[in-house]
Amino acid sequence: MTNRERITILMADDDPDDRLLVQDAFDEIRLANPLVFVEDGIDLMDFLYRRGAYTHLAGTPMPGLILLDLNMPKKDGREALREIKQNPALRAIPIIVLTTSNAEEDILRTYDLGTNSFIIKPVTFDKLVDIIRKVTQYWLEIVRLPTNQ
Amino acid sequence: MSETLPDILLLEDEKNDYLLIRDLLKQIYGAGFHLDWADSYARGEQMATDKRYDVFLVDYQLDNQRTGTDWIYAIHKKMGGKCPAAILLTGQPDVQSIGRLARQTAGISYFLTKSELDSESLGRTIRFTLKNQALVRDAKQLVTILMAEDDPDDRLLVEDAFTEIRLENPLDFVVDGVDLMDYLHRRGAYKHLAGMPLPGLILLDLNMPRKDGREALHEIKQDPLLRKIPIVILTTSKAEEDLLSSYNLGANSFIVKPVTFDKLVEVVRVVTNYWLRIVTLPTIKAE
Repeated sequence: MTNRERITILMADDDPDDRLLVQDAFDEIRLANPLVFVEDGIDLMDFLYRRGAYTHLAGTPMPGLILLDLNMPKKDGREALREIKQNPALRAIPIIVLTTSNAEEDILRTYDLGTNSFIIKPVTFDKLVDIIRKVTQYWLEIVRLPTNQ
Repeated sequence: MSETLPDILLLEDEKNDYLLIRDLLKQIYGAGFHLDWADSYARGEQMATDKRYDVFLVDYQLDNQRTGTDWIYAIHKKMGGKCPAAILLTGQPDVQSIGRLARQTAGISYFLTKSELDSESLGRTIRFTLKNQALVRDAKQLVTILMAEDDPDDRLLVEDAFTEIRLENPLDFVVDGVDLMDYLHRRGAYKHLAGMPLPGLILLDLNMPRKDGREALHEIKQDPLLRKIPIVILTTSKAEEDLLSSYNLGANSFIVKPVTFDKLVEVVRVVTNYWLRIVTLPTIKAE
């Protein structure tokens, strides 16, 4: 079975419009992989640790790829990124920071914290579709993802 | 260039087409414009390096072996940021594939079909080209891609793949882990690189002599300055252990080397497109 058929893509973003747009972009490219959303850093960590609202996921495979917004309430993306990349059980999961921030400092810091890629959210839907297409092509068809434990 | 009269080099093997274009330029600029004519690939190469031009007009169909896009790619690679933009001229009816090719080739600003060529379209296209050139030239700063690979055949294949996709970014090679670390630290054989920007992307083979890719990866991702550089593991190893440990050590991606050249070209195309066009790379100031 290839990556393409198997893995869940997890997106952490507090903005419901952005979540919807990405959902639409995935539909536009006809991608069938499960796409799951969390709304802030706490929600994200609960999901990954299979706790709180997500205890029912215990024993199921971890997401194969995480799209991470930086600016989120309760716990922002930078903090979550740090936590994930410092945790031996989680740090192999590829993380793509997908954010509106183009601040040089953010870019440097997130790579420093171990993000696998940094992508600036585009302004038009067409460009978003193109980015999602290229991102999934790269991560699901070309790259080998670490297998779920 | 004088205020209104650009210096133009026309690369065109057919004399009749040269005369046609010369007449059109006469209509556009009146007398006294500067047009030089190269009737072959080699002559064009020579003239482009001997003299400073403002724009190239290049025929797509040059000779049996090489096309105008080959010429533009080669000149652009040689001259880098100083290279004048090129307008590709084609007599071929398949506009869509020429257009696609033109868009993929660095250095081409516009393409025109010979059938639509008149003084208005040519004049306008040259004008736009010269206008955009000033804007584009300084904006582009091409990152260097660094590949660490001990097998000389594999290095050559990747270099060929980069040429195939017409990538204009510099591609540097190191041959093992020690060479790699010297390069990144700008020491030993690479002292001369001190102060230069670090590579924007590293393609790393795992199995190398002297210091293997696993050790180099670990070292790089521990270094506060170097660890920001994205590292793509490109290896023959399909070992599960290598896959997981690479990601755990901080590799940004892990790719298994394809076995055929065609697949390698495809991988190189997708990888460079992703890291150079989709992703925002960190701008790391040299120490």
